[in-house]
Amino acid sequence: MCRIGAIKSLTPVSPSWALRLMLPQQEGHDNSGFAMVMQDLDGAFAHSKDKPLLSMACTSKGEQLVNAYMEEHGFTPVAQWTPDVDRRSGLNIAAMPRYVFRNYEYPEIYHYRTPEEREDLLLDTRLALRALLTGRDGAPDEGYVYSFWPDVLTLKEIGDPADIAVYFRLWEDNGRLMARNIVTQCRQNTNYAIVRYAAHPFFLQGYTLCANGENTFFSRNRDFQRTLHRGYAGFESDSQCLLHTLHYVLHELRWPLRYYKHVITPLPLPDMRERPDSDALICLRESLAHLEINGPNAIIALLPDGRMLTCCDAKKLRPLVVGRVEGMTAITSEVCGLNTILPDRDAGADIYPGGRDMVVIDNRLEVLQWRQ
Amino acid sequence: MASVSVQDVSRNDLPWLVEWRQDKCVLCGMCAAVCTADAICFTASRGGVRGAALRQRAEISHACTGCGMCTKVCQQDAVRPVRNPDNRFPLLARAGGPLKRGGRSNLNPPRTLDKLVVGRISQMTDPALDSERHTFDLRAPLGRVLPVQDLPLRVEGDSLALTAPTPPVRWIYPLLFSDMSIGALSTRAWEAIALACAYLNEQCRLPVRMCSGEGGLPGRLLESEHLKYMIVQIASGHFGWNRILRALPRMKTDPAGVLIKIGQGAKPGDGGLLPAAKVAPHIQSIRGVPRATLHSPANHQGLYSIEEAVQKMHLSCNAAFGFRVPVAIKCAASATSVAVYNNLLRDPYNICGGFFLDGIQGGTGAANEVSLEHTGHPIVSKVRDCYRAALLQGRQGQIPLWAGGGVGQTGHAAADAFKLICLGANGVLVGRLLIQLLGCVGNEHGRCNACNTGRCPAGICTQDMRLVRRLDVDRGAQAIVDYMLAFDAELRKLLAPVGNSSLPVGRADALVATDKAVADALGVTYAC
Amino acid sequence: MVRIKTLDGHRRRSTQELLQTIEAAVLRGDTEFDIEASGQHDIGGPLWNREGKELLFRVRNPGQRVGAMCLPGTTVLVDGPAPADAGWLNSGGRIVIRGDAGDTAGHCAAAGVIQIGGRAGARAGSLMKHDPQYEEPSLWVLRTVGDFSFEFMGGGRAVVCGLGCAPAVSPLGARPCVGMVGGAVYFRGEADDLPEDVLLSAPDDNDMSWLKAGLANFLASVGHPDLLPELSDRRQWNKITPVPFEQRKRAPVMDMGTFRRNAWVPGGIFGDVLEDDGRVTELAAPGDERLRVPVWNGESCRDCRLCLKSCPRKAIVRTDGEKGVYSAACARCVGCGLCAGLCPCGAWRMTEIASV
Repeated sequence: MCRIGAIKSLTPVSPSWALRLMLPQQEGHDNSGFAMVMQDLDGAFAHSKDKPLLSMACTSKGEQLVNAYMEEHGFTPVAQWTPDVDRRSGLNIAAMPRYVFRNYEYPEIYHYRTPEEREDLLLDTRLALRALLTGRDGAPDEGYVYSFWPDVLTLKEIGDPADIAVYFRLWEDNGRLMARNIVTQCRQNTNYAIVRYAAHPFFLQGYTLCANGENTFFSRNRDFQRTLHRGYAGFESDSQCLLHTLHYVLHELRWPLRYYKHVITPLPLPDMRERPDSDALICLRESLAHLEINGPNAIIALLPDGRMLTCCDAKKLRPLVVGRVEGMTAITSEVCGLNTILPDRDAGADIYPGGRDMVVIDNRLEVLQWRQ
Repeated sequence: MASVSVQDVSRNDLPWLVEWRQDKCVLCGMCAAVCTADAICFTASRGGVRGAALRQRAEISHACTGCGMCTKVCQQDAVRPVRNPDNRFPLLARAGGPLKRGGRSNLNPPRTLDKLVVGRISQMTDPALDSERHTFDLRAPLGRVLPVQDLPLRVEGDSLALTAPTPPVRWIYPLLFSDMSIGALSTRAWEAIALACAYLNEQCRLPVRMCSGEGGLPGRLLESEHLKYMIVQIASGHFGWNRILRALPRMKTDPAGVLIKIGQGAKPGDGGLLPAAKVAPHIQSIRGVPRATLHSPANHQGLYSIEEAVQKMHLSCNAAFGFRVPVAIKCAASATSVAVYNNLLRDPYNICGGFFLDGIQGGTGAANEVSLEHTGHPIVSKVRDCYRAALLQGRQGQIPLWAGGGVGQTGHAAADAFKLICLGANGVLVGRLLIQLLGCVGNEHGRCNACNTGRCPAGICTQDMRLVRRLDVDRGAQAIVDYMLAFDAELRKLLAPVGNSSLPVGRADALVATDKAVADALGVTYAC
Repeated sequence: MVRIKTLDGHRRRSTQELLQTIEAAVLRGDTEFDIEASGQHDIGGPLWNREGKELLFRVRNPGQRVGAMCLPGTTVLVDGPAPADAGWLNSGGRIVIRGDAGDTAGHCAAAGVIQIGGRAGARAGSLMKHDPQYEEPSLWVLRTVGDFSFEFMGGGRAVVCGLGCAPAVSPLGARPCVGMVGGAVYFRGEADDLPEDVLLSAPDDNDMSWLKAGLANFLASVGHPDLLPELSDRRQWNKITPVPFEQRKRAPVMDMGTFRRNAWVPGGIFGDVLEDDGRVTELAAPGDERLRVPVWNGESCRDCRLCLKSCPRKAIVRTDGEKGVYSAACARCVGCGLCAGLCPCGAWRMTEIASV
């Protein structure tokens, strides 16, 4: 079980908003961790939004390894936020020795490269750092690299979300850590083991996604995705497949957004035949049959351009609700989360996406509802 | 007393002993009248009517096949065939050359499919579905599925539009009525299967397709709307294709597909065989041959390399129907199947629309026993191998895999189908099961298997109208329909607990194996 | 009145703590609660006052299963929306939600009243049931319900007023009432996608008097008494009931013979190449259907008439002459060979005949 949530705000908000969004949903998750991806940052990173930001938890040896690698590959650090952690005893957190949130300047030759080449560089660097820090042959890991992307910060840790918040002083709203978009989730384990990389939200080249559910077509998705893109790696969680498919449909295939829903939960064939684009729908169902998901899922995703989307599995087996006030929209599993952070909204205007719906929120907070 | 020598054949040399109970018999004579093998007759054991006795002929050519029609007609329970483990039949019956018969392999190694269990049940982590309540999408592709980057798609506004035609793909039921030719089957049996197929489509909304087999199609069917349910087969003998081509201008609809038959699981590497006894006048005309034993060559003539074998045949068959009809190929499963599949997957013209693999447990109307028993390859690991070969290239699903050869051998076709699908098959083929539903009493333990003799006691594998008239087309078709409806319900019953509403093709994680070697070979979890 | 706040700064009382507090208070005799919840589950039931007094819970921001397993004598008033499973397994309580309820509202409710002043989510009212020993449950929804509503409903009554439902959109969502076997659903608007084994009808007088009485109470509870006239227009209401079990027929199935005669190729697909009248013969059939026929050879015959006696079908005919002349009447003979087997002279021989 897990609960998911996201906030999209015209003015930057601090992580305490995300914490408060998730707090009343505690019984829906297992309190085993906290993770969030922040995008469109303010505060400490307000002045280096175009510089790739490395989010990492590591040992000191891990940090040295990373520093050496980055230096060798021409990345120069430009800004850094080091959390002033609260080391009081009694907190339920499996903290890592070091947390690194650091902006880098691109290597010099990349100043003249295309955006696509830069995107590839950032992905390859993240994958290389990940490999560098992953312990081999039973050796302990030296660290975890969650994202390396301009204007995106990822914080994940194992423990009680409230204690994690205390540890990182996330309740304090000191203005250092702020963003317009936050996607969050309060669970750290998989069904089998505590694995940091298995914690939602997942991030890939500007795409962030978290899900509440169980993708019973995980193995089919994984087997197919492995050959599609080098960035489709890890597979510590069945929900990573949902991110990979989102990236594939939008970034690789460059299809209109709504086809993401058509790929993961294709319409039954008789319904498909009634659509004006039935030829295309049938073709993509055939060709991307192995990206179809099954099982219960509620999904929240954040796109590189800042748009946020949410949708469910075709049978609508998980809860999901969208609430709005002037200047802020929030998406979460249970309405009690919305009630906590947006108590004065018009709750009658909340959106409950069904099995065929997709809801997209743009950067002006306009909501587009689309029915598959 | 007649003299008896050691070399004389006795009834104890035969595979079946006819056990007769004189105390029960009322001498109605029915048993002898119905015996198509002419294996039993009456004789006088002493004088008078009461002296009549039922005698089993001690002749290889009249050996009892165990079909049990005698028992079926006997009101007194006075007669039955009994398996004779001490028989010398395999030695004696080869006096006239290689032993021939129909049916399946009678060597019955433990079935791999029975060592697999649907073991990944949705419990807590995700909800199982409800097989009655939820909607399921049980369809399988037949046709060439393009990799997504090759789709001629253009973004128009917020829509995708196809800018060029793509290869034909039909979404059909994941169980296909496998190829049994006109000739191998009686007219009534063939028609009953075709009728059941049409009924399932039109009355039950199950888009089941039927493959014609290599003996052509009846002209009336070629010119009817029902042709759309048929997959027309072309095999090495090309029998019946002249009529198919002549009918082209009068066809109201395209067939569902074309199946190029390279080989079959029952007798891989051996060509088709239609014994003269079954070459009735209508078959002579459809096939364009006189009455004689008809051999199809083991190979298609005129295919000079594997690339060409793939391309040339596919091109011709695609062209015959204007590239509107998917063309698939059927091979006997073999240690080389993966190589064949790889060649198909690399087909640059996108004209191969399916790879049908037929395993060693496939049935046949007539084959040399040595082929039936000792050549071929089990289907399960080969389907898995092919699927995994495609998977490594990211090409899974591009050429649909259809698996046959023993599906439903124990009567439980839905479980067999589901497991094969989890291992990578898109759908399955059944043949023998269909004739068993029509009334065939043959089995994998040496019962009957007389399909080659032209004396099928059920009127199914014969062209002798006296026997054909034993078969009730409507009841036979109904039995197939009933089984298929149960199959469909059972398939849902298997999908629901693993939490899937569409076919879990390649989802081997849904299975566990109770045998370690099977688990290792198939890449599924071992469970004990 | 017991007032409970569940948030103290960032510290939140867990469901367990809250429910234990409430239970202790109820045991002490408290009957009225005002709860500022923060997502705690199961608020409101199953509780009862030892002296039989009514219990009242005013709740803001409950979590899932508000009013779950609620017992008679309990009223739960939720000011605002509630997440999934509101009124789950309600066994007699009155649960009022002034805003939306989430998925599976009223799931398995078996008694009592659930009143929802907004929407209910997917699978609302699923598996509602009615135990005849108690009063029937009812579920009232002012606006609409989500997909798969009233699945497997077995009893009780549900009312969906369809307020604010867009034209041409079903207030019951997609695939409602699948597997419904009992109870009734009243709704305003158009429903599509109904399964075959439910009936759509207009409510009768009894229905309407029940509806009107209930609506007045419902609308007052959820704070919209003004809507009563609008919702009282009988013409706008529809009723869904399951087809009674005894009357359920399996979809008419066409028998194979009819299908073959009407929908199949006329005369059969082989009709042009083979004469086949479709007759089905017995396994042992006389005449041309015989596999073997007895042939009589007069020269060997000693006219002992054993064959006449032995033939089970009385098919042997002896024609009187200087010596008897025998034949087998093909209309009766099935070719069993008893005559040949018993004939002491070898006058009868069985001969294979070719297929006709």
